[in-house]
Amino acid sequence: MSEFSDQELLERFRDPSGSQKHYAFNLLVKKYQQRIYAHIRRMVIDHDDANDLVQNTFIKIWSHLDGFREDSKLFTWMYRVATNETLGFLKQKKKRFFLPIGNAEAVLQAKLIQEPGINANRLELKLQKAILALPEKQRLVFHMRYYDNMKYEEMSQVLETSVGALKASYHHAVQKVEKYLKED
Amino acid sequence: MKNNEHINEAEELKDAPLLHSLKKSEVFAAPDGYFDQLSSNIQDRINAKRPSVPQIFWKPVLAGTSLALIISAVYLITPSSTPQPKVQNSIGELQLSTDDLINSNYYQELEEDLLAEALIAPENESSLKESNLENYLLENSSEEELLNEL
Repeated sequence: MSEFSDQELLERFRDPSGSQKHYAFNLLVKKYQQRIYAHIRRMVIDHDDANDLVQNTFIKIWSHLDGFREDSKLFTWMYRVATNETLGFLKQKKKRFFLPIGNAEAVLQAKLIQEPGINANRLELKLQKAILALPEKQRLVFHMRYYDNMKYEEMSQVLETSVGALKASYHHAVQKVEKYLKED
Repeated sequence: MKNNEHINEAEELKDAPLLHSLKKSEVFAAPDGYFDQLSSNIQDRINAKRPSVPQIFWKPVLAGTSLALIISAVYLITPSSTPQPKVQNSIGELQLSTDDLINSNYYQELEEDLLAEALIAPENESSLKESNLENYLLENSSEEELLNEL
């Protein structure tokens, strides 16, 4: 884990001499790689897909970090880049395989069972299936709030949706997941 | 701040006791050593994308190329300046277009040659018709042939 704050990393990255750019970026990747990976992996399930998306996300961050206006926290901005990258990937995948929305979720559920490296007991696996049964945007909201403990204001910056709409979306998601868990 | 989040979460999940009772755990594990390699993999991809020639070199080259392309496009699109196409004949030789001929000295040379021929031609014709033809017939025909012709 990096000892530097986000602000220090940004200053080093933007140093006009450019001598610390790679070093600072490397520390930034090390600092946030696990959270970015977990966020993407929960959405796409497959590790190889997640790996590609994580790398693409960090390459985009590298390209645009100089222009980051600091209107939000650095991690919120990075999370947004990762989210957009992931949503774009899922959209493309649906188009490529002509998958209707329901089928796309069924494909992800099937992947969940086949995917190696999933450390889950029966109930945890059921929870993952319940989450995968949610509509894509609601699933994203659920992950951000339930797993990543993000504030609604931050979520609003990532998803460009009002706080009120996000609260309602999370409430509905929780109800659906609970109902799924109660089913036999 | 964390306490606030925890209280909020408890409130948010009060209608979902089963979900609330579950211990949050990360079920998706990355392969062993994945995070040790990730940053260097990303750096490799960044380095691979970096141009080998400094950007400052490319700017004038790109500007020059763009300008040349624009000029070419304007020249080709403008009808009055469109040159007549050079046509290839059946054996693949390139034929000259009218523009090529105009641009060359061909017409000037041709004009002089034609004038010269036109001035010389009447003398030749008259000599062929009269004495030269008579001499030729006398030299190359027998008397019998000449009598038969008459």
